[in-house]
Amino acid sequence: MTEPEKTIRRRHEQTAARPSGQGAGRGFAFHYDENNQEFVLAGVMTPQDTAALAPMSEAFGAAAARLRGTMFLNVKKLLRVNVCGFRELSRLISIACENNPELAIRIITTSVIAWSSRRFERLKSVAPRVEVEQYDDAFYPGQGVLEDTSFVPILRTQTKMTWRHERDILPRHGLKPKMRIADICCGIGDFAALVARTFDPAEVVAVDHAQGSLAYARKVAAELGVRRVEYVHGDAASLLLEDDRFDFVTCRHSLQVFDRPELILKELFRICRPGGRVYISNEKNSHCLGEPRADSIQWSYTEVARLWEHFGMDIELGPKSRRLMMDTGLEDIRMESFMVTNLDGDPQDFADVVAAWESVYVDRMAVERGDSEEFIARFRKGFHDHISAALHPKGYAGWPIWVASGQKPL
Amino acid sequence: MADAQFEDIIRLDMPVGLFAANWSNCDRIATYVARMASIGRQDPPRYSNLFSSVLNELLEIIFCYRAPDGAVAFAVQRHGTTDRIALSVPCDPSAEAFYAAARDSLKSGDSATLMDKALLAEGELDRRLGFWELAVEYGAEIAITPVDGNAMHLIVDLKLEAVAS
Ligand SMILES: C[S@@+](CC[C@H](N)C(=O)[O-])C[C@H]1O[C@@H](n2cnc3c(N)ncnc32)[C@H](O)[C@@H]1O
Repeated sequence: MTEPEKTIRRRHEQTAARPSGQGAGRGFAFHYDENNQEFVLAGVMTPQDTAALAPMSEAFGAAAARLRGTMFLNVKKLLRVNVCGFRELSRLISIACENNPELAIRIITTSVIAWSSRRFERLKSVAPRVEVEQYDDAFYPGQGVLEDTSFVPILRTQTKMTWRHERDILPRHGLKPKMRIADICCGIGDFAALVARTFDPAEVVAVDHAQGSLAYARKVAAELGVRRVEYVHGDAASLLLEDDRFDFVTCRHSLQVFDRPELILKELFRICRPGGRVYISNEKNSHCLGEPRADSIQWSYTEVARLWEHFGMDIELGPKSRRLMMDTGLEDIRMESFMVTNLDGDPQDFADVVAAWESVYVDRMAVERGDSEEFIARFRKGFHDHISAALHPKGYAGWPIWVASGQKPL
Repeated sequence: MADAQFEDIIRLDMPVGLFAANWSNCDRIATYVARMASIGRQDPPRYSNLFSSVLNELLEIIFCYRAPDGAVAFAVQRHGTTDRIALSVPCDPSAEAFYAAARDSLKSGDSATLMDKALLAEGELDRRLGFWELAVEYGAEIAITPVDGNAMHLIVDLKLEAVAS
């Protein structure tokens, strides 16, 4: 494995911390993963005195004495540390660096826990070779594109088009009134708001990592008078939501942006209650189609798939949903596909969405990949032909979506 | 402690004996109260995570410094984006001395330096670290006032929405 690959793997590793350290705080756990040289702290670390942390301190000291190079201190799921615990960490780090001159310590924080990065930054002064990395600053390939708010209007039109279909599809996948629902990677939150209005849920918790999108979501929900939706900043790969909490967990058009979707699916599974269902939707972009000029359109969308792959994402994931769900341990898998077309509503909406794709895929991603002018011209033409097909009086343009759901075993 | 502009969110009175029976009460109460205080905030789990960290620190201080008897009174109040934690703690002389020293140190205005020193100091933990940390990391405004009848009032004003974003 190359270094960057290793980093990505490490970043996406789940914190499988074991319960330990009696008296150190509710649900406090630590564990050391030798392979990744990673020491993981999780839960609430509020010891009354340092003695309560002795097992952790010993394990940390032993690990730090043995290893070479960088030790990763993962605090992504560390919800709280009191001053006693924090001082003990600072002491451990300083001793470790003193005793092992070859050791560097990199503390991995997350922006999801608001105090974390700033507080851990202080530990940089404790010893040389201590670094702090906020791991979600750049943790999936398309983040720069997707967390950019210029994407907002287009997401909204997309949801308007998919909702016409999904409104009828969702009940077939088990959505009923009075359910507790989570929408993970909610984007600008319009789907969560539509679900709240239509399906009379007990609660909806909608999580995304883009603060700009969340701010937009809250504004729109307030304007529309939508209640019972809570928009929460979070990381889908490491959710702070409790196990078994929701009846229905959705994640739409998002597994396809991660290089390891199975890790996200595992989290969706975890927060779903036994008997509840996980519902996902994804695309297979190479199957976008249109008439006239079918060939040009098809060529460009096949290239979209390659382009996404180049950035470590899989826009072809749709039909793979069944396998992914089964591998996660979900049962009673239901799967179907639908085609959003220019005939569904206003054809201009379809055209607008394609124009937005063009600007993201051609002007940003292909340019970033360093594609030639010839390629870019041909690539762009497919989108223009798709727009023409959508607006053509006798034309037809389609965007296929795959939805799948599975039940968490009872 | 009353301030007409502030509205009560939650109020709790507890015999010291009950509160101080178990260290984990600090965490339990902090978690519970933080959940209530985060209702209506923009991102409730994020807010509650911050709020519980702050409250837990205060409760741990009280757990360590208070008279053996009497009652702890405490309230969370709200005025716009400011949340106020108001605590009243019965004190014996050693607790009184601790809070007086804490107040002096906060007045010195250099909580950040004091905090860094205390983090690295050997030996017993200086519990004033809790106050310094609240001031530095959470922008808390802390007022410590002795009151009649051997008690201390702690008033902590927080603008956590700003810290959260
Ligand atoms: C393609 S958009 C889909 C948004 C929405 N579900 C929809 O259908 O419009 C992918 C979303 O995933 C979010 N996202 C990416 N990585 C995330 C992570 N680790 N945790 C939470 N959200 C994430 C992005 O911010 C973006 O809003």
